[in-house]
Amino acid sequence: MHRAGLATVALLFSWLASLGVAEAQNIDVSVLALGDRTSVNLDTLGSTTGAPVRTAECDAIIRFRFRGIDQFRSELRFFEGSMCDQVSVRTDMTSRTCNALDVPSVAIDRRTERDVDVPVDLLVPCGEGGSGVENIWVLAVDNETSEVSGAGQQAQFNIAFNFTTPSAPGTLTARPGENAVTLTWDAEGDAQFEVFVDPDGCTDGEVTSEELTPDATESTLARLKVSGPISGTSTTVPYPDDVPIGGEMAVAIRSTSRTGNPGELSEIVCVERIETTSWWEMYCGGGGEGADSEVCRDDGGTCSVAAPGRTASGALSALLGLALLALVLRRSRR
Amino acid sequence: MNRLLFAAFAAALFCGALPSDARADIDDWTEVDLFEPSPEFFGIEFRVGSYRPLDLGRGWNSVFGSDLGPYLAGELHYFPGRIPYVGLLGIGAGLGWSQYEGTARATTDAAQGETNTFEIIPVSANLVWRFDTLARELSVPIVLTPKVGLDIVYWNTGTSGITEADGWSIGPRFAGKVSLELDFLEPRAARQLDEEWGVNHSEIFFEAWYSMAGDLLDSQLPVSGWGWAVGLGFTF
Repeated sequence: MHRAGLATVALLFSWLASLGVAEAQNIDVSVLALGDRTSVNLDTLGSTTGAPVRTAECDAIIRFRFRGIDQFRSELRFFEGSMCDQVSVRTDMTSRTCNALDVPSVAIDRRTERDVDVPVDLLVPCGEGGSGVENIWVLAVDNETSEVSGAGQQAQFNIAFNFTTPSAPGTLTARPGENAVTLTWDAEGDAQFEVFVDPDGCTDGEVTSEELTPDATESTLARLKVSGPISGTSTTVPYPDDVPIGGEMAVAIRSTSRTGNPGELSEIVCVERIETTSWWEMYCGGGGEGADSEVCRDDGGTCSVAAPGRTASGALSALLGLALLALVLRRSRR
Repeated sequence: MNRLLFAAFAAALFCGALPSDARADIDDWTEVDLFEPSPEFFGIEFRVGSYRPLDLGRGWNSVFGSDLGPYLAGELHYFPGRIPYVGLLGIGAGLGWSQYEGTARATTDAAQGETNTFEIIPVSANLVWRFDTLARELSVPIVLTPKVGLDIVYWNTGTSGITEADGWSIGPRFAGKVSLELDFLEPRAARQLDEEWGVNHSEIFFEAWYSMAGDLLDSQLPVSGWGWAVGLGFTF
């Protein structure tokens, strides 16, 4: 009879465990949206080397989805720090090991799933610069002294941030042309760069732009941006159609960090659009060796299909592939 | 009977006097099997060099004249058969690429200008004679390879990434290659390469060629000129 009783208790425990009651389950958390990101993964969001929060996202809203909440608790509260699951640490106002965030508490309303919108700047220290990781706790509690050791009573995750700004690029040099201007600049580190052009920004070699200025707003710069983010320290930018030969335009670049934080604008330079003589114009022009040839009359005989570039790698790869195929065939014959 | 005994004794003596490597000794693990090279059907070359069109005018030299390319290319050969003391005869296909950069000068200020490019992508089909008799018969690791064929060259030119003109030029192509087979440096490794992968020979080479692409038709750009390349080749 004693054995039968023990067996009954064991069965009861295993049944309770299968219902998820006997062992504590944390609140499941995921991120549904963050600013203009198309997808957000909490693992990469929590790593400084992944996809941390950047400066431009400090005004954004992050939408969490919490699942598996203990519906018998009254509200969700947000904390940052460590050991926030312990009441003594949470309520200790001197050690500051765990701190309540300014995020308004969210009523659970007897539901096990809640979507919560939280301003990013309430979770990470926007405006302070630098980078780091915030250890966030979300607790389902009834009051300040509620224990959260039960199922559906706590969630803990990281949110990384990177607000470091790259240094401004060094001297910007512009080599004018007829079709495009070639820009070169000095830079340090692994920053990327954006190029901004104001077609009406120069007069007689002087910068007169009212839009492309050192204190231009992000929306203005977004409108003037013509290229980027690009790596390296040089690029070629086509002239806008409304800059004629002999006309001028204002050009500047800006460095951006790998996480997307913009740096300061470079110096703004004026670039004239000049007329140049290419080899093809020399060859086919008056006095050129090919002036009277058929090939010059129809620009080579083939429709222009693409910009010249280092395009033979694919074909070379195909040749290499053929060779490897031949080698494999040779091996299989042996 | 005595004669019979003598014959048996003589035969035993004769066998005992044979060189040791002429006898099968299953306990001698150092014994080397007779090596029989695998047949050669293919050849492949990877090369780098320079190609200079000669008939593109004075402007070409002033804009691109200081740029040597480089010329990157590869060739694949197929040798259906070998003629004793003549070598391997076959066909080949090649693909190359070179791009030249210069500055399109400003009409008002010669110190400024924009990037001007001229690019060629030659595709060639060749008859190939791999004269390796010196290496095979005399152990002199030199191979001579004359080639004759057709060059089909795609070319384009532009400034600042915008194409001004492009087209195709076709013409005969003549080439001569001198190779130094590398097998003598490490014969054991060369043999292992053949046994494991069927690669008969590896070589370094120098090749010079002349292309007449575009010279024969007025409707084509004369990209004809001289080129040279060094590279690494394999037959397998």
